[in-house]
Amino acid sequence: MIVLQTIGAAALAMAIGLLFMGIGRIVTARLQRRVGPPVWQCYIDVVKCFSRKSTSHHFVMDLGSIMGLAGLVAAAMFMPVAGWLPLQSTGPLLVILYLMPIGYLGMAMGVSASGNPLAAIGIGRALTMMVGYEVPFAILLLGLVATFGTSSLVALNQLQAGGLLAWNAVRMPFGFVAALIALQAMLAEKPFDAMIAPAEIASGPMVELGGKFLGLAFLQHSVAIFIETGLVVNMFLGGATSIWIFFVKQLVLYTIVMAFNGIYARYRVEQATRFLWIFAGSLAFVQLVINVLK
Amino acid sequence: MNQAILLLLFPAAAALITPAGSALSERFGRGLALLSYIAGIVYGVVLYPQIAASPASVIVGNWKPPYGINLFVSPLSLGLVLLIYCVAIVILVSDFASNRKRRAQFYLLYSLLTMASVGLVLTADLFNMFVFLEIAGISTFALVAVGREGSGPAGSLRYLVLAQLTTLLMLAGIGLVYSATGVLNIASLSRFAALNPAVAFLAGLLILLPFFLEMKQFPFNGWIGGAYRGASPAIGATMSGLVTVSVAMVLARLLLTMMNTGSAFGDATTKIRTVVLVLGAATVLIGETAAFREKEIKRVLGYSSAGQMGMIAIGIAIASQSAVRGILFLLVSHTIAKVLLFLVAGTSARLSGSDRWDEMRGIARRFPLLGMLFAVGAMTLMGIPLFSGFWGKLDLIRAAIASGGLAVVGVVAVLIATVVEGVYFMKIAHAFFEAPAAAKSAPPESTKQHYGVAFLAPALVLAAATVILGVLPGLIDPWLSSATAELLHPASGYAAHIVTGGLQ
Amino acid sequence: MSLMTTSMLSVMLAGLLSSIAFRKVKRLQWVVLFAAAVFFSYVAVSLYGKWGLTDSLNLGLFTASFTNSYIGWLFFAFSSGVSLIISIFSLSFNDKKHITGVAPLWTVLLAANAGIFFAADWIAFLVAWELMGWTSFFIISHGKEKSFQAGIYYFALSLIGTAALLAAIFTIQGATGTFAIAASVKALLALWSTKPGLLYFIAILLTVTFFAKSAAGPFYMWPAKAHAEAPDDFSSFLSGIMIKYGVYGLILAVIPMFAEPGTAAAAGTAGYLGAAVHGTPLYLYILGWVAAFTAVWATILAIRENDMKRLMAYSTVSNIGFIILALSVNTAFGIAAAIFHTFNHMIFKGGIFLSLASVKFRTGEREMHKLGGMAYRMPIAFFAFLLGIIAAAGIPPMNGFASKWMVFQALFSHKLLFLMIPAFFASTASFMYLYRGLHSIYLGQLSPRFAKIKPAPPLQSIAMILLMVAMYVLGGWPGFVLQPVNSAIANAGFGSIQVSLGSIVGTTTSIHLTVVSFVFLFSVVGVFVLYILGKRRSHVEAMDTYTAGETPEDWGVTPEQYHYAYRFYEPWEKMTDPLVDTVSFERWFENIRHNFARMSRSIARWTAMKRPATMLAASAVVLILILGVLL
Repeated sequence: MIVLQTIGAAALAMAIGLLFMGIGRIVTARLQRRVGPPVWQCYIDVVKCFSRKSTSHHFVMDLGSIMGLAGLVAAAMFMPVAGWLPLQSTGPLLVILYLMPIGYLGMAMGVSASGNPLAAIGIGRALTMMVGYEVPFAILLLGLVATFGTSSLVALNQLQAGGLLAWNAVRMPFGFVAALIALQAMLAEKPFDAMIAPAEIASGPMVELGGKFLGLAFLQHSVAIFIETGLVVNMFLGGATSIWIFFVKQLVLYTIVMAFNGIYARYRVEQATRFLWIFAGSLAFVQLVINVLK
Repeated sequence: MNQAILLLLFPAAAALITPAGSALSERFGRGLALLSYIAGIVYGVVLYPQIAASPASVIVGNWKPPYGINLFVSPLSLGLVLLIYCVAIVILVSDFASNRKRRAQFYLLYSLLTMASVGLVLTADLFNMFVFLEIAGISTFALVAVGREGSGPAGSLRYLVLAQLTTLLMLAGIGLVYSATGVLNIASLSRFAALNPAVAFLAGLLILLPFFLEMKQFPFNGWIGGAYRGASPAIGATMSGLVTVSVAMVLARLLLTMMNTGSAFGDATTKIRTVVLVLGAATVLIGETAAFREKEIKRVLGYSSAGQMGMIAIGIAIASQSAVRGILFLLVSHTIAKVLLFLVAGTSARLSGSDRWDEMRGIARRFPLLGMLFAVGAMTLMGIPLFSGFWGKLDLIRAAIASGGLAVVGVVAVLIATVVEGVYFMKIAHAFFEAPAAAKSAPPESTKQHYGVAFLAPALVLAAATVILGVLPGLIDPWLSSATAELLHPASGYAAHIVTGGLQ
Repeated sequence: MSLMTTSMLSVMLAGLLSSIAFRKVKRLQWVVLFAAAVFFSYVAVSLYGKWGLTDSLNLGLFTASFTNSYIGWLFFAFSSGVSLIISIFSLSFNDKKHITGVAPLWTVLLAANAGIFFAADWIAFLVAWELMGWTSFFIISHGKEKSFQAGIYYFALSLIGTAALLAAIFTIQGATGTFAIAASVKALLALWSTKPGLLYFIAILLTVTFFAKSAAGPFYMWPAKAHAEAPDDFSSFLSGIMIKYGVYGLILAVIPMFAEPGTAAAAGTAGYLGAAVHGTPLYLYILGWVAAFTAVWATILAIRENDMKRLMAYSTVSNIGFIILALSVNTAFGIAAAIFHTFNHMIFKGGIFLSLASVKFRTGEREMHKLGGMAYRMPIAFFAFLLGIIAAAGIPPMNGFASKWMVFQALFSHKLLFLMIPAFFASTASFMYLYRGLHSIYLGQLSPRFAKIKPAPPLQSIAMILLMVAMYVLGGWPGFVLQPVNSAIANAGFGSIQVSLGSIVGTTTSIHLTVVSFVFLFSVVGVFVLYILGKRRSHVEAMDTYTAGETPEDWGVTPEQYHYAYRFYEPWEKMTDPLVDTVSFERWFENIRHNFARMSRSIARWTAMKRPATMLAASAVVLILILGVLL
């Protein structure tokens, strides 16, 4: 039974993520005064990828791609969706935070093995940027834990029950803004997409990926969207009692992210890191101080 | 028993007979010297159990102390005399390996120096001490001057000037004491009515001055550089290993036994001890600092001796049970280690053709034993466990911290010095062990250089001694206890034996 | 004499003898080392449960006493186990081409290692400490000029630590009247009400000693020098085991000095009565900040490195910062976290360094940008490195995650939030340099120079596999180590935590690590199924990459040039250049040494001058006399 639940949770994460990606593409298109692809385009893309032949330079590349998606799927297992978890757990925040990097590490390892220097450059930039957004995000986390004394997402949800005014987004506005900035960087959308932009370094990490590898990467990105937006919803927007409201909140966040993505230009890596530390970091820090003082 | 004076007579006789005998045979001098030292050791070893049971006072010339001169043979003095003889033998044997043509005068002077050192350790009379000191000084000066052309005489001249200056002042001090008290016997002075503190301080300090010089205390150590550069390694070893034993012991005798609160020097004792402590701490720092950048290996060892003597001075000035035990142990371990290091330095200089250690790189790759012996000696001086220096330093630091006050300055100095000497000794050790940078420095096999048994045997003996003492320090524990008691409690031991010593 | 002393003495003797007896057949010396490691592992196993066993060695002047304490045994057992694995590796590593002559010294060092953990009185501790110091110095600077510079740096800092230790020991003895470690610490606790200044002084001295040995605080720079130059297999011992002696010293003497009133450690005394921040004693709080600085600073420097051993050395320093940070919280959880992370670090850093040693063994190359593609030829070394860096990054399912999680929980328990920021930073940024090592050495392009190298020899592979298994098992079932640690710290009076074989109860939540491990495995299986469902993939050459339709060989690009590795993090270097230029303790130490050398030269020159020397002597005499008479 648990096995079915876990498979179901994984499938749900991927499905919702791909759907969001599709909606995001429409948002971007409309901002650019285009019609855009249909909303289920990403499903078609994934199926197409998996049905094409692909090349691999070495078994490590396969291993890396598998590990990449596996890590994120494992992280998704621990994230409560409207209070529901496939396994019995408390939705430990730190576990999720540390399982996610396996995803990136796995993919990084895989694309490094491809031998293309562009991939390596992309990964180097991605990691530098990761330090950039992890610091404010971690400070936010601390702020929450400081106030509520727990790092369990389920508990955090319950503590935000009681309507709009109980949401952390309202009680901790600075933190919420910092979280939005960090979310933008986590999802690697403009202005923080120097590592994967096609115009930059031929898509960086994904330059050698084709066929099912690209499909796995797509799925990885979709699960990442699901997890990251889900995290911010759980942490700041009060979670949800019903699964549909949860998805709606996630969608709202993602739409905001894609909106910014459509408008802004790109930062260089060191600019991005500095921006994240200075702006998002100080906002988060201010929030932390306020929380501690309260 | 008067026979104990034989301890002095053996080297004296050797000194006197050498010129005559050398007319007959070239090798006469060295053979006779060795023979006399061996005789001295044998006699001393035979005498030791008797002395350990009850120390003896030897009256010279049938005049009873405090008006006559007497020698005091106790476990402390006899033990150190034996050490002096052993060191003398070791140095002479190793000098054979240096292939220098030694003339008879060399052995004459050497025997004189040995006799003077032994005399300094044994004597219990101030003026006698002065005489022996002068003899030691002049023989040292001559022996140093025998070294290389040019730098030998120059270095020794500076030493002579300073030595004469200080011994002159010592004479003045002795005169002061004599005129104030009417006695010159150390034991008597240690239980005399207290003098005027100002006079006591003046006289006491003046008497100690030449010993400051000999122990290389700041600010009297300007002679080290020149003397050590000019001296041959054997003489360097003598200055650092042989003379220091006697001089350190005399300083201890004077500061602890002669000058204490019940003595003629009364309250001036604390002031004098403070002066010694401060000078000692300064010496430690300055000696080790000077050694740090020094490139000539003999001078490095000379400055290092200054540092070690500074530590001994600090220990003497603290004057507690642990401190005195510590410095006695330090003295023994320093002597062994320094002589060993000078032997190694001399051989390395000979094998590599240079006096500078940065030109001796890689010598331990060709002669691993040489490198290891150096490491053993260095680690003993640094006070590293498994080697004998560790226990002495440990006791000294413990005593200093326990005594508190100004002694803490001493501790800080010693600790800083430990770091500094660790660094430079390891630098030298590493230079020895360094792998040759390129094949160009590979030694040509045709020049079959080697060191002989004359170097190896004494060196191994010394190395073994320091390791054994390091691992089993309890071996000399009984000696340490009786020696400490004798130095620190004159009323019960020293003074009692001498002043009541009768005619024989 | 019990097994403790007999084993130490016999191993020391064996080491000294092997240097003489086997100097012609050096390989036998490495067999002796292996035998010594086996012997010590056996001793560890047989001493388990015999808590409080004491032993003494009469050396004439004083008696050294040893005891099988709870925490001492833990450290001993772990260090023996990891040393055994490293010695297996060394047997194979030291073949004719690579052999070094350091095995006898290393054997004596193993004995000193035991001495440190078994010592029951300060003098025995000091003897073992110094023995460890000089043997390791000679191993690190094994005869090469460059190695010497590194070695002497390490030795000088070590000497400073020893000097501080000497001063501390005798101050303690003067204040408490005893040399016995446990008893003296207890006695010191009783002095908080009367002599807090003295206690802070002792704490500072001990902190200097142990920080110097563990490269924390201002002493962060020596591991990079020492690890880089030491023999490659010794680097794993240095990083894994030796650097932890300072941590052990802190747990032994400094942390108990600050035991809170009412805890078991303070039983019978008043305990610490000074200022505290959120329940953490002020002194330890400051130590925590120093440790946090160390963690951050070492991470920043590691990211800038091009040499893989130096990089990993800085990573070790960063982890030490973590460990001391956990210790400084002064709770049962913190101490358990610190000890657990210490052991985890031994295992994963050991694995990483052994893997690097294997690569160096086959290729002779140490700079990362000259390697590349090693995974294709040396898979076991690659996996050891991969699992090692996953553990080092603190990612589940390897063992690093559990201990890092515990460190954060410890900080949460005392609400030390501002300390957590540097900790998080160090932890996250570690991904950067860990990944760099992986990519630059093992992935990317394989140089034709190394196209034919053989994989790691069997013994080396066995050693690495053992460590990999340990990493995985401890990651999913931390209780194997954590339960003994828990009982040890409880018995030592630090309190206890709730832990079972697979789960840990923390301050803000609890985690079940076995579950996490299985979830990950399950996800891998699931994704693999997905992967199989996709269309077959075909293999292409490494140089056959996307280059907009051209081939790199047409431009004359070789695989070495195509391998992006040199100055991998140039943006980061640019960002941190001004910072690194201003904050440089290394320059500070260098200045001290430089000025000292100048002083030395001038003193030597002064004492050599004729007239000033004599004049000075004469004037000094006059001055002293005048002062003495007047005062």
